[in-house]
Parts: sequence; structure tokens; C-alpha cells
Amino acid sequence: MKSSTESWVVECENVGKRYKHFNLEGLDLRLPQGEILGLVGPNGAGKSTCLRLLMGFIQADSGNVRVLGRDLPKHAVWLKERAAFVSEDMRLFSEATIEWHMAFVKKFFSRWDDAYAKQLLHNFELNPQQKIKELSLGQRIKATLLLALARRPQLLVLDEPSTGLDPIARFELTSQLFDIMLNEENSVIFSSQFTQDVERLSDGIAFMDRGNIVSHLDKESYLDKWRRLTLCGDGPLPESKNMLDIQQYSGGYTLTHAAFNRNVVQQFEEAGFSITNAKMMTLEEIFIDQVRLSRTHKGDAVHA
Amino acid sequence: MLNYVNKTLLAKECRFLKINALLYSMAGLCAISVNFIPGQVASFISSVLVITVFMVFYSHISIKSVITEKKEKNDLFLMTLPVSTQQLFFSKMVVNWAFFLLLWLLFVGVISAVVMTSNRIPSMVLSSYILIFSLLIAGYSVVFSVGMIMVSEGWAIVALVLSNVVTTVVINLMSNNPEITGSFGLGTFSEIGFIFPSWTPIFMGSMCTIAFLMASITVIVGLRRKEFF
Repeated sequence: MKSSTESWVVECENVGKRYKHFNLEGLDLRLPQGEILGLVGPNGAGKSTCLRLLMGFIQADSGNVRVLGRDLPKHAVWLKERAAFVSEDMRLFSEATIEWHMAFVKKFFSRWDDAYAKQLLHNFELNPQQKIKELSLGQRIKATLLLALARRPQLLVLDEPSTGLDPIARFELTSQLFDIMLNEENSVIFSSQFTQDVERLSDGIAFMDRGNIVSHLDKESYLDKWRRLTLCGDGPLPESKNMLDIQQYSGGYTLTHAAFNRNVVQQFEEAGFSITNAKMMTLEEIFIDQVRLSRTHKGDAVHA
Repeated sequence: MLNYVNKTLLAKECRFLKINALLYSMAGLCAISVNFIPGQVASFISSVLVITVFMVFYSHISIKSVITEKKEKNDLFLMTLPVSTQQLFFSKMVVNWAFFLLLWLLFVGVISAVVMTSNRIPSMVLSSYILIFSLLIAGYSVVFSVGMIMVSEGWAIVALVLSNVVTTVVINLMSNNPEITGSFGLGTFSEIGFIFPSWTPIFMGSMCTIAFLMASITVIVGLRRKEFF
């Protein structure tokens, strides 16, 4: 984690946005310079709302949003000169060619990099003369990415860029994104429903559910903390809010632990259990269990 | 004063509307040329065609630049550019009104030229056209303003249907008005010059007021709008 004296690329403090059937509440999010943050959540979790708030497309009803050191929405136009946004539900003009779009976008950005745009055209295997309506979904997303990347943004915001793509196209896109991100020093925040993409691309991961960020850690911390445990021993389990999926069998338990460390091992040993297996979990399993755990805690809080 | 960003946005709006405007101009000119066929029936058919082409034209450009762009999610792409909501809003408004007025002037100008130079078309035909085209300014202002303010296909269609129904009713009332029907036999433009019904100033004033009010409301909404979608 960064010290408080360092500047953040993204700072959200207690941000709220209310809609008729959905509320984003108390959103706190920080992204350090150069980090790639993956935002994972089920449909309707608030990922797109969160990213659109960060770009200044929509205005928060409460709280503060600060991106690249400037307050939003006051500096939204300033920010859009320095940040790029790509979304799966964003469409280019179907009747116009890629070349027209490149010339159009270039007029707005002094930092537009022609050489890089040409390189991306080549890497993405795009024909600039082709009209957008003639492109496949994968090509359309690549064209949109090209238009975003050639602006040389300090912050790249991607809202589910690979949704709707077949597995091969998705792999191809994430590979190309991975190459680009490796060579860039800028910050990236992207949302996805696919934990494999997030696992592959990001340094930090934030899980979102029902308008809240339920957890935000670096990738390794998740993999270290979340374990599927097999315990040997009799008697009651020690009290903990970090356990779920507890199953008893003759001579022990199996359970999922959300904060596994040496203290937990010691705690179980003091209660008369020995850990016979501490299996690591996939990010997808962790995501599902994290959402379930946070919903359980939220439910407990409501009932209390 | 227009800055560079605004000019680029205006150019983009023009690019997507100019083909439509060109096609409707050609269709309108073809409709007007029917007047050259001798006989009153041809003039009647011409007037129906011209008015229909013009109404379809303004409905089409209003829906295309406001609703279709939202429906096809181009607005999200535009919002990624360093432009404000107001710049996007007013570039659409300026270009739409400019194309509307351009075609309005073209149609009215050509019709005027045809009637003024004709030695058989009654002078009252020109007055009727001018009155109907004034009515269409109000009709367009309602359709376009509702589209811009509500940014909803449903509301735009409601405005379109209501506007077209009211326009049709008013045109029917005008065609049965004794001051108009009674003036067709008075002579051609070269014989009697301009001739207008007595209620023309009130009618024109009302149409201009509706158009001005709708445009003003659109401007106020545009200035206050914080989010484009």
C-alpha cells in the first residue's frame, strides 16, 4: 500500500450515486500510479457506474471523486484529455471508416501518437479503410482500443472490454492488452466478469457487489488469504466471521477461510484441530465466496 | 466564438446529416418540378409531395442526430472526447437547425421562383406555401426540442405524431378557409403580386412564438444539463 504522502491516480471517498432501482453507496477506492486494477463483480454490481463516475461522465450525488489530482466533475473535460475510456457497450459510428475515426479523434488530442496508431493498426490486424459496420465484434473492440491508446492516456479505463467475445478472441485481446500494459507506465483500471482476464492482467483486484466494494487487495494477498481447509479433530470450531461452507464429517471439518495465516493455524490448534490440507483457491472461487461472505455479513448487520 | 473543438463537433454533425439533406433536397426539387406539368391536379400533387418530403426530412434528421446516436451508443464514444455536455448538446442543436433552415429556404425559394415566374399558377399558391412552411417551423421546433430534451425515442415519436396530426389538421383548416379558397381565381403573381389572408400576422406570430419558445426551452435545458445520457 502507498503512504499517505504519495499521490493517487484515482481517489474516491464515500461516493454515492442513486438511481431508481440501484444505489452505489459509500464507495472508497484508491489507485496508485502505474498500477493495474481489476474490478470484478456480478451483473448490476455497479462496476460501470463506478468507472463512469471516474471519467466524469456522470456526477456523484455524494462524496468526492478525484482523478489525476483534479476534482470531478469540475475538471471532467481536462481529465478526458488525459484519460481514455473503452466500454463493451460503446459504439463507433457504423457508417464511418476506422481512418475517419482516427482523424476525428486526433483533432481533439494534442498527444495523439500517429506512429503508435499505425503500429496498433498493424498489431490488431485492422484495415483503416473498413467501415465500422463491416467489422466483427472483436475488431470493433480493437478499433475502439486503438482510438483510446493512441491518445497516450495517463489513465486507461476499460469497462468489460472482452464481454461478448468468443474465448479465442478474448484470449487474443487480453494477450494484446497484456503486452501493451507491460510496456506502459500508466495506470489502468478495468472491469470484467471474467476472473481469468483479471488474474492475468491486474496487480490489484477490487470485488464489487450491490453497489459496494467488498474487498480490495493485491492479487497475491487474495491467493494467500483464501484457503479451503481440511481439519482433523473433534469439538466446536472457534468463532470466526471469516469462515464459510463449513461441512462436518466423521473426525473433522472442511471449510473455506477468508483470512488464513499463522494465527488462524494457531487458533485451530488451540481448539484441538490439526490442519491436514490448506488448498489454494482460484480467483473465481475466491470472488464467489467473497461476494457470498459480504452478503452474509450485510444480512447479519441488517438483522442486528 | 467557435473554438476548434466546437468546429470539429459541428463538422462531425454535418458529415452525418449532409447526405440526408442532399437526398431530401433532390426529392423536394423533384416534387416542386411536378408543377411544370400543366393542370391544377399536378399543382395539388406537387404541394402534397413537397410538404410530405419536408416533414419526413425534419423528422428524419431530428431522430437521426439525437435518438439514433443514443440508441446506437455513439454518445458514450463522444463523451470520451474532451468536450463538455454543453458542447455536444449545442453542436447538435446548431447543425440541426442550420440544415432545417437551409432546406426551408431552398424549398420556399424555389417554390417562390416557380410561382413568381409562372403565368398560370395562382398567386395564392405562394401565400399558402409560405403559411404552411411557417407552420412546419413550429412543427419541427416541437419535434426537435422534445427529442433533445427527453433524449427518448418514445417521447420523440409521441411529439412527431402529435405534431404531424396538428399540422395536418391546420393545413386542412387552411385549405377550407374562405379567404384562401376565394383568392385562387384572382390571378397570378405577375398580375396581382403578393396576396395574404387577413389572419396572416396572427398566424405567423403564433408560429414564430412557438418556435422561439421551444428553441429557448431547449437552450435552457442544454445549459443546465449536467450529464449527456
